Amino acid sequence: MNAPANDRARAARHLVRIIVDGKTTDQTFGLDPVKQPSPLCQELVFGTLRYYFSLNEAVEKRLSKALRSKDLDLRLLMLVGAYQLRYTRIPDHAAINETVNACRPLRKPWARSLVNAVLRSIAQDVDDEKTECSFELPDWISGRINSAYPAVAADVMNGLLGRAPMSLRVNVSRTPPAEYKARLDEQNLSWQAGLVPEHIVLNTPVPAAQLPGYAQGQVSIQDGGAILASGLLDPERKLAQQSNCRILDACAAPGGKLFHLAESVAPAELVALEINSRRLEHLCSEAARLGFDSIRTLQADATDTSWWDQRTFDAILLDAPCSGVGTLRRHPDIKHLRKIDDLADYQQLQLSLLRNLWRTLATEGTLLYCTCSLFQEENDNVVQQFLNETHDARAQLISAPVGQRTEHGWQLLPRPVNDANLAASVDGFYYARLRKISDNQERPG
Amino acid sequence: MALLEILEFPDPRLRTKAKPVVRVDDSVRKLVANMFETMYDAPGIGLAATQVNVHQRIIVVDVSENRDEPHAFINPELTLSGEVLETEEGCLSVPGFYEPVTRHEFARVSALNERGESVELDLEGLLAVCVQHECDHLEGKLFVDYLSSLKRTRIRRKLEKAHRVRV
Repeated sequence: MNAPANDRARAARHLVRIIVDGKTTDQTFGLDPVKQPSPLCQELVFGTLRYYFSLNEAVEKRLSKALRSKDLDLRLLMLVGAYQLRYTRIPDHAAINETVNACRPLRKPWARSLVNAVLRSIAQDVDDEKTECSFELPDWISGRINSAYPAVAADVMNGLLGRAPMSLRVNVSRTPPAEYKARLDEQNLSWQAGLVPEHIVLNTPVPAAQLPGYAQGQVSIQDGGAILASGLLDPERKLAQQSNCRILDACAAPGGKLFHLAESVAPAELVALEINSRRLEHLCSEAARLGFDSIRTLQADATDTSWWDQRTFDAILLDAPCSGVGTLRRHPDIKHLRKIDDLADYQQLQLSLLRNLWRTLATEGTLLYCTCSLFQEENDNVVQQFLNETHDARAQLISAPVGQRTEHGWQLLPRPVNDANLAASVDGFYYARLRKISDNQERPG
Repeated sequence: MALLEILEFPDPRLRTKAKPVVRVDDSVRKLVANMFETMYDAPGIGLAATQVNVHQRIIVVDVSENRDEPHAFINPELTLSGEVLETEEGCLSVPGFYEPVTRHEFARVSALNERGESVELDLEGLLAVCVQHECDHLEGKLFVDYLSSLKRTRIRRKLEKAHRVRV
């Protein structure tokens, strides 16, 4: 039997897995680039998640009685329909017709007239209540952003609602950035210079396969905020010059920051841990594309040391599991999956990772702690508590071309995309650099 | 492993009634592996041995979005229950056409797996539809048989034309 052809029905099924079953988009789409759903299906899923709150309001107020819980897929299908009407260039009649037809593959043909009536009503109301939930965030997230960043809260929330520009990292071990920019020019792909020389932002996104040298590993797709990690770990390029340098990436998948370290620092030994076997597999296939066969990849839990060979690392990158709220513009599923209580769990995990990995760090070594969260609970508070309990840890002053200083580190903030300065449009990463001082050094102050 | 050629409607070989598998041996396992490869490559969610011109009672299905829930059923027997519901079906042997077909909501399948063990599974949703569709193939039946003769003739003419162009 042939796979069902209706992208609206497929989008509704993916949304059930995300909203009802609590799966991430990565889990429901899979990581294999060849087996991804069609671009339209992905666009419908991401778009519906992005504008979920106002779309849901528009649909719910048109339902005279609540749907049965086993008909949640129908509500999500109507949201997919409403998204097409409000935010895409698909003509209204086509959007409605195709969405109504999706009732059949969902095996609910009786709902055709209901879906039709709801969508027609939404299509007629052009200046409907679009502004009511304008930031499309659950209260606990918007409340926290308002109190943490009062001066720029609206900007940050707009940034989280927007779309990320297509941001590239040139593989400097293969191609000088200037040469790569010339190749983009040859292909008539217009670009802007990024935050560091190997960072380039395209003015218009293109599929990865159309990037010059992509299959040959000359370039990767990575957010500008993530590209800063390598430079923040080794700002004076000391590690890059040190022979026998040993670096650990403790939570490595999908591997963007790891490969950037391999490209720009090129340490004698690079070890990558990842707890999830499927994500590790994906990381290994990316490593193969980029031609890094010397990275030691281990499926291991970085909260214990069973994997450790007792040789210390000169530097550690800890890109800790976190709420991920700083990446909402790429992962709109997060605002539906995370709950306020999750923050305490993440904090515990982040602290136990820091405590455990600190033992594997050499004296005078550096650990870069990184999250993609906007919340103090996962950022400065974690670092603060770790510094309080760890006598040989010091936070070092760091800075980046965008973002703002925090008590112990540096916070990047998503901002609305500005066409003239795409490079400044980054995900909301947090960085803190911790140095291990030798025991005989006096604690200052 | 190898990709197998899928017969296309109105090829008369699709009308062959399949014979039960006598023994589940390595040759059957090899066929099942090749059928999975062919199905995933198509890409499809189910394939019957009839469609690759092997007239034994073997079907493979995987209706999961992630393509990670494969089932192989050998000598499948179906018990149908529930309401009849309409689903838009397509078929790898009738490429490019999707038409509504009514099927039972639930099905229980008893069969052998690739290791020759008896299995029994309760199916619903798309999986139930797909297994009913594939079992039809083993009887020499296609989903177009459920359509009006007008629609079936139209599909046949279009596919015959496409086959002529390809040759």
